Amino acid sequence: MKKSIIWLASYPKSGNTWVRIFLTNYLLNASKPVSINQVHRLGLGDAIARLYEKVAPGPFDRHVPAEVLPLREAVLRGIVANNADVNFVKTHCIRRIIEGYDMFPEKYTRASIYIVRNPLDMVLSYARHHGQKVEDAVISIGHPDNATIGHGDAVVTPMSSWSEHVNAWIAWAPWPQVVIRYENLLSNPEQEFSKILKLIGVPVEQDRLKRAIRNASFKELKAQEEAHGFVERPGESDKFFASGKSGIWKDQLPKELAEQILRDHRPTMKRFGYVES
Amino acid sequence: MSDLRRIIWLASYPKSGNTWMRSLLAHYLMPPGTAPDINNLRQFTTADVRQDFFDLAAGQPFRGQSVDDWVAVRGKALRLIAGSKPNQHFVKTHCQPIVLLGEPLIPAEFTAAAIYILRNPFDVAPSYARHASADLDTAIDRMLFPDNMMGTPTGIYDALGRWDDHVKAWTEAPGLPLHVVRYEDLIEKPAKAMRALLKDFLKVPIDQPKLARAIKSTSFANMKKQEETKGFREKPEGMQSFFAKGKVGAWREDLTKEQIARLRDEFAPALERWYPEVLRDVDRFLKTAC
Repeated sequence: MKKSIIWLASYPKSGNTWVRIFLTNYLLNASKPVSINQVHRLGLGDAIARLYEKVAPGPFDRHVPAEVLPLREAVLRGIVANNADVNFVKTHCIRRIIEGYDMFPEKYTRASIYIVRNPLDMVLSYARHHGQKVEDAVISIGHPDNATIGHGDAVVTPMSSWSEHVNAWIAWAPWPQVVIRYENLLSNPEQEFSKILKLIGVPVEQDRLKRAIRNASFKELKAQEEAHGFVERPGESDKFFASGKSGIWKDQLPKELAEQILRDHRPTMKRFGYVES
Repeated sequence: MSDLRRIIWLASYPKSGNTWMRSLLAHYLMPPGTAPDINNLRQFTTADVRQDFFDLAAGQPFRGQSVDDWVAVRGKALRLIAGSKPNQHFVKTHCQPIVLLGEPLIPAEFTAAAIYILRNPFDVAPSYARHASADLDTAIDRMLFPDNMMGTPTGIYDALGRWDDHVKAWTEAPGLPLHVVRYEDLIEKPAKAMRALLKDFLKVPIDQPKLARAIKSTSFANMKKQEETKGFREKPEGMQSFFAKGKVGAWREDLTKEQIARLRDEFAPALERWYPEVLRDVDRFLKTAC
């Protein structure tokens, strides 16, 4: 058994899928863009119900944390059992010990990549993704008990509020970690994606890097989704790749909701330069 | 990678007993007669703000213009610090163990363990004010400011943040081998506090007479006397004396009622966790002072 998991962690709708698609393109070194519907070839998610069913001694309710959390360790053990040097695992889970269960055991973990996005933009995408009203999404991301509900083929995932999530992931970890701003990925993709490659321990080749960034560009992903659909799109949502920009909140987020988010998250937002004072 | 996990962090908020702890460890762990005075403690411990390591890491004299510049070089400087001694060694830090601007300030790849020293914020405040040559209200503002930074003129920083965030970030760091020492316990029962640290955490055998000597030579009176006769190179510019009071409970004389109430309200959860007895004293004091 190796410490092989590299966590790709984020709050939902913060660039996690984008980073996975970039990595797939870079690691496969494909000349043409890899299909977005093949991105699951790079690693797994930690909420796939099928993995829990495999290790569960009997039936369980995938919407109930008390029934799901005790199975998690066996799921992770199953992932590292392939003895690979690296297993990428996507997660939206908060890095915490919950009811005695360590969500991210050191003994399976090689490193973590955490992506953070301005909650003012994220909340718009979050609402669209979950088929929620924006004002309800604002409440969700400010709530300490916020969790994904576990629909489709997923199990429930404890997330807590956006601030709690970010602060849990920027805390000290006994493994190498990078934290990347979504906005920096947009404005300076070569530098930011290089940090990720360095953490993984693969050499950074400039041409390959540029090609992978192009092949994982928002334009490319959106075109693919329009042509072929995207397997990870939830039923509630129209499109997975909707805007992919920063600063859309200025046009789309009602002022009173922006103010509510600032009231809920100001210290953490400030830490990431999302608010001036 | 594992071969550079050599740093045992000596971590604290400023003015919480870090220098005292370094002196105690030096006196106990170094061969008799070689224990350093306060001005060559650096032979025994390193600090994460050492200009020479930043110069080496930068490949030229390091002159940072921003926190980004500092963060960009810090990882390399820490790699050099970790590699500067063949075995585990102590490195002083006032930084929080968090990821800042994308980079871990206390990277796991150089970390063996940490000793965290904390002191009640009511006594830290006056000492920190003297240290920073600031008035008390300004010092308290800084202790409450989540992004509080202290820097050298060449742009090497300590990412302190708020006092309670600092305590929480260190004492709750998941997976970090950690020993916590309260300044107040070190004053009250130094032998007991040091035995727990040396024997239970550092796995060093206890030599009772040696420990007694180490405690005696690093008494506050002795450190203050050293500073008076020889000065102290780590004293910040403008500060009168580094070793000023070193007392527990001096807040009653040093702080106004408003200042005490402010710290109490802002830090209540951390105080309940780490200083329930001080919290009780403070509440009693505030009640009778009204």
